[in-house]
Amino acid sequence: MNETLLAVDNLCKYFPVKKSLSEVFHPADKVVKAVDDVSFTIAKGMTFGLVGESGCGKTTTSKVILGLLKPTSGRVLFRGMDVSGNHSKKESRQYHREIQAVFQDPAGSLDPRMTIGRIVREPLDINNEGDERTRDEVARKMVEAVGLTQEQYDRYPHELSGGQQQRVAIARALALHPKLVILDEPVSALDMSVRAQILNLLKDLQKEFALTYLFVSHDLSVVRYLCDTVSVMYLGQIVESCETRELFENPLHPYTEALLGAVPIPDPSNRRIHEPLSGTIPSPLNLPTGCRFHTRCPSYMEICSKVEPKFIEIKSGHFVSCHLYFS
Amino acid sequence: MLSVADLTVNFYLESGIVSAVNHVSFDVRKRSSFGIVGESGSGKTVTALAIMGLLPMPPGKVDSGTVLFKGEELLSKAPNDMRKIRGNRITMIYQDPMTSLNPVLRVGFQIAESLMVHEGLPYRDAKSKAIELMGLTGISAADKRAEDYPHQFSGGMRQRIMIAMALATKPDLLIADEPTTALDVITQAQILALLKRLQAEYGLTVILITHDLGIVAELCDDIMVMYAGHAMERATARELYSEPQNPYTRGLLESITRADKDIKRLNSIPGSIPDLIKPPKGCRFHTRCPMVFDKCKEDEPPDFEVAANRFSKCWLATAGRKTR
Repeated sequence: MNETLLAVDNLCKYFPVKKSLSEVFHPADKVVKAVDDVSFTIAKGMTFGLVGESGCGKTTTSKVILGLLKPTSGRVLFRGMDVSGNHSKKESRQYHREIQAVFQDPAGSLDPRMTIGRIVREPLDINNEGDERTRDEVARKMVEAVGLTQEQYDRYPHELSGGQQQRVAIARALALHPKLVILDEPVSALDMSVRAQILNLLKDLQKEFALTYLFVSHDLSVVRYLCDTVSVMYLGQIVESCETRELFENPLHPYTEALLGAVPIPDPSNRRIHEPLSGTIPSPLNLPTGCRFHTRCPSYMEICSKVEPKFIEIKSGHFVSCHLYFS
Repeated sequence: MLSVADLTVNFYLESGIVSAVNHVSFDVRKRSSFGIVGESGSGKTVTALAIMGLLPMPPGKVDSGTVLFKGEELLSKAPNDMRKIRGNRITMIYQDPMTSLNPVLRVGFQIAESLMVHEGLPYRDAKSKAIELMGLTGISAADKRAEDYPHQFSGGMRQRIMIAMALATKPDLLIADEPTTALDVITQAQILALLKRLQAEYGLTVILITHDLGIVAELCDDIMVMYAGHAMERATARELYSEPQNPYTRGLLESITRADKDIKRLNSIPGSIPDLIKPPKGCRFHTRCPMVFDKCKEDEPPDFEVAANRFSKCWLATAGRKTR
């Protein structure tokens, strides 16, 4: 097993909900448990996938790791350092250099008034990396590494296509040679024919720069292509966690099974879409008791609504929280 | 049921002429489900809007073609006559149900409205029919929910309301434009299953527009693949996936990730989608095609019929009979 780069320990992130003015002055204790006791580790050089539907807490988790949100409780350890602890400016600057992110909408994450060159160079400028010439050189190399031309270096974002814009966002994220890159739905907004280019690019760059990825997505087919290990989230909790191949070939949690069964397969001779689960995700303000999935679970038993299942290792490296697997 | 021939739609903008749909022909068989797949800018939505008579004109203009719906030519119909067909015989559902529903009207009334307009039913009858339709699309306690407003529903439920609305007049043709793109995976499967069920039970004819090759494979009988305003290939679903004829279709199928298979490396299509103000000369895919040769850069290929009812717009298909 490789060295652990990132460890998330019993992470919780609750958001208080204030509905009316009176509640602002007399805070009620209503909270949205966006992330509730989540733990996982990512080994160096690996790609870890965090999958789930909207509102499951996957993006909140990645924001806490990026240091954009403070955890309610629990810790995020990056190379052994507690991210949310108190640090000197130097320490936190080092941390922010080493964890970078690429988001879903490239147009929204690039400053429309900056040239591609300046966008990619900006992190180097902020960190005072060498003199201006070296910074420019590094940025140019980065732009080339992501498959853009030198001619595009002086262009503006609106002159590029969506796929090219996403390449710029990747170049900027990699400019400071980070250790960990958080990819939050990086190909969801891209067209089909361009998606494969970016996925292959991400794979190539990972090898070239020895990167570790945290890949956040709702798209299971992309997860299968890119990730080494996966955790499935539902309503703020991880319900299943294992190696990618194991998850797709031997899903244990009923929710994982439902998710896999709901993905359309591009093979008309093997049609399989049938109503997989009824109902919708319950409100995070009003979480079900016991197992959070029990209201929709096809394998519901009496115990499920009463006792919260523990997250246990069913077989080597395969964790699941479901009463079906307790004996 | 529907026969589109040689449809060409251009948008005349200050910055130039956008060639959105170019010489597109296809037939939709009665009670079948016809899929139009394509990336953004491929012309799939513009094709649907042209059929519905909903193109913004100007700047849009239909420069050639006919749309025959049950033997009637739609493109030359007067706006008043078209209004009797649209929302009645042909209905449409869109990607984002929130913007298609009126936020200040109760959903029951919105569904009932089309029955009052098109079938002249009094409100009370239309309303009870609306409730019945809501139940049919899987909304529980429909009589109570009919009194709610759109914001009180989840995305999947709103799409069910849209479907109920689209079915109210028992249309001959339902056009669904990216009906599940804004939804989560499981909700998407629920809506797809619902469409499938309704189609089987009511003998609906459906045109499904999507960018997702998985969705058309699950739902459609016949498929047309569009790229940059051209119809690249038309075939039955089985044929298209097992033996794609057009290099673009092949490229697409090789470049998609799959949840049912391990893929070592995707075969990506290089380059990006062309600007439709200056579309490539000849075959519009030639700038990215791995099989490109000189002819492709000069002359636009016609729709070659490579087998019965199977068309490929590619010079490589010259072995086939030339049509339209």
